Amino acid sequence: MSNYIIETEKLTKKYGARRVVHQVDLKVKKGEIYGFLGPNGAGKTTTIKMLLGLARPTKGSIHIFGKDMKKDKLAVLKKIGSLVEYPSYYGHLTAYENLEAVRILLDAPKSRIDEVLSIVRLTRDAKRPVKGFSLGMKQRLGIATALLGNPELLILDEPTNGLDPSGIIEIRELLKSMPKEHGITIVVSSHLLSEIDQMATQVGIISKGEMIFQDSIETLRKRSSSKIKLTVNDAQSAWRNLMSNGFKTDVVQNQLFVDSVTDEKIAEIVSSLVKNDYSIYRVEEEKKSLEEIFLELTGGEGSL
Amino acid sequence: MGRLFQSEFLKLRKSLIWLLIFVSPILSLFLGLLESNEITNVKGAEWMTTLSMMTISHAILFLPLLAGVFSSFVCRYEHAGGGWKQLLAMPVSRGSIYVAKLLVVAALIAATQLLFVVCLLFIGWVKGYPSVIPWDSIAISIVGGWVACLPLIALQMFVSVAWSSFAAPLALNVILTIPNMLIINSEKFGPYYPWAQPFLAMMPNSSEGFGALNVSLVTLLIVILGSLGLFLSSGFVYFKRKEV
Amino acid sequence: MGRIMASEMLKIKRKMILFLIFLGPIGVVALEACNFGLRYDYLTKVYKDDLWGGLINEASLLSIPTILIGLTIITSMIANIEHQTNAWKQLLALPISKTKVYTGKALLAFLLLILSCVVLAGGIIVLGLLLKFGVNIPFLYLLKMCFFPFLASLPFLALQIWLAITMKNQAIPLTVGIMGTIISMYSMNFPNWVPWKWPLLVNDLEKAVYSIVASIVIGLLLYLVSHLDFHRKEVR
Repeated sequence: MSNYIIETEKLTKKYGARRVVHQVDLKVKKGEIYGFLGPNGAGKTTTIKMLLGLARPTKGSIHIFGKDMKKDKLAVLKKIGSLVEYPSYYGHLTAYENLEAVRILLDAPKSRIDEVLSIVRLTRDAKRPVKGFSLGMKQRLGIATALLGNPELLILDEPTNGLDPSGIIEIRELLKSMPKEHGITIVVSSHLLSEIDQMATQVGIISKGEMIFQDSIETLRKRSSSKIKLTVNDAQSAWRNLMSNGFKTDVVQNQLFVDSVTDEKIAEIVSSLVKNDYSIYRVEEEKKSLEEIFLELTGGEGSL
Repeated sequence: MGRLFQSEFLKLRKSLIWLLIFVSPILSLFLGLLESNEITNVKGAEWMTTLSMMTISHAILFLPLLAGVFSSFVCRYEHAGGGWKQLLAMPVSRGSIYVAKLLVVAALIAATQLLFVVCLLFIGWVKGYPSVIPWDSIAISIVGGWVACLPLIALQMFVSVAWSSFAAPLALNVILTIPNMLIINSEKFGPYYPWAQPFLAMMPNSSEGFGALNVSLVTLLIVILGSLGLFLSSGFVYFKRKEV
Repeated sequence: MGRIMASEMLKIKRKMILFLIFLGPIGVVALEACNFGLRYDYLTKVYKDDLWGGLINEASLLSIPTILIGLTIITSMIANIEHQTNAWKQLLALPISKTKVYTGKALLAFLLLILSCVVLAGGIIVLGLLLKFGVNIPFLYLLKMCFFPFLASLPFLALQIWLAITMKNQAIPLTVGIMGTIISMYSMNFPNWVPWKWPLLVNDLEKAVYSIVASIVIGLLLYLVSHLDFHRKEVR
């Protein structure tokens, strides 16, 4: 048996002829915060629904905690807390009653309700009907519901949607602390790379239904290879000059770019420019942002 | 199963829709009080005459429609707040969720039937009916009406789970219930129309009664239990496979 | 107002509303076709003096509850178009007065139900001709029995459109409407001033005119009050 908490194999979902998820091999290790990233409509929510048994895969298999989701669904779900898309709630019940309706099903101790309410800071509003809640409060209630059963695995689909900046930070810190303090594994989806960047340890990027990247966040960052940017007085002529001397550069908006090369090479380029009487204003290192890598991976689809 | 039922009950209690269980018995109570004044009761059959009178207002339209309203309602708050995906991601089998919802509705209908009896007794008390109450016949009528509602609940639960709109299952229910007004009068077709069964099962002294029941054995087995089996199993299979 | 109606008509597309508007009267006529088809000899004997009148009366027995429940469902569906997608805030932010928005919805429901009554009248004529009741059709009586019950239901139309539009939870208006229909069915012995009795037209026809006038007046009054209430309400 593998040491993955979640392992899918060739997971595929079609709605009619439309392929929403195609051969996704999702692998999540214990104690990770797995950031599931992709533009809107890339298949994130569908994948998550399949993980939770809400939608049936057309093809492929899902193993969670080493158990086949098809056979041991209930045993698996017992150890999962989830929040899918927008939060689920019963508008006519108070926050407390909403949690109670779920607590009864999970057979969790009653004291757990107060615990999760205080974790998401809803203790003060617990006695109000949820239909009067703001989106952020509903979202926090949804997270509280997910935490109710003391899950070993938390699956959250866009959990920071509709939260204000301070709420986002709070949820983020909360999620980050969980693997350390409680040994919980977390899968969190988002269409915002910056979001994932700040909390995830592993990243899976899905685009048009296919997994196009899956590795640690460090590996993703390493891809942000640097370039050297040179600002000179006459970029066009300097570029031609460098070309004739055998240096390969690019010129963009009157600036010269050199792909990641050794320090010696840069020194040679600079001395060549100086020799040919070009004025060098700046020599800078420019890192590709994660956004650019993301756009590159997804083929420029969907803004972030 | 018990826990599911408890959870369903919690969601329902706060919604006030359960208050509807009082409406039909109370309406029947008023009609019973009003009408019995005009009709000279057959000596010794006062209880059954009044029961018949109340059954007309209670069971032709009200009971079948109520079964639909309750079924739609226990699904409404799941549709409205995205509750299905939360509920179905719980470690409870889909089958028991479905059964719990059915049981809640069946319990509400049972409560309506009990209140109906209370109202009947109240009329009898006010009018000074004989102290010998025909419990057997009353019980057969009340329980029979309840059993005859079960297939309707099963079908309405099916469509309520399938359609997120509250009006659509209700419209279907109305379309199927209105023909009652004609069909109950038909000796030939009445026994075969599921929506007419709550009335026929509650109406005392129908000639074709099987044993102690108000409906014939064929009707009971084929129409009531048969349609129950059909609607229940198709709804069940649908819900098992439903994706949210 | 024309543009509002055009937009309302567009919005009910593919919502089954028109389907129900036709299904109601056609269903009533179809049931009567079964009724007369199956019990032809018996019913033609009962109504041998006035075959057309008998058919019309039998049909109105079914059409009255159908109208009451139909208007409940139709108003709810019309209002729910906006509720479902929270479109009120978009609709009311347009440069159109709230009065017109509300009137548009009410008028749409009214016109659709009138259409339903027209279909009912047409259906009865077709059925009567098919049953070979002759060409001596009592048009006046037919029109009265097709349209009066609806006109006598106007207070309920106003009430239902009010409830359906101001409440997001459609279970409430639908339940109230169904309840009203059933109460109306058994209101035979109620005093004449009770509105639930009016659609039954149980007063003789001359008096029925009074209840229709009362119905129209109260319906309009309710419409005015409810439209003021709609004006006052804020969009959530």
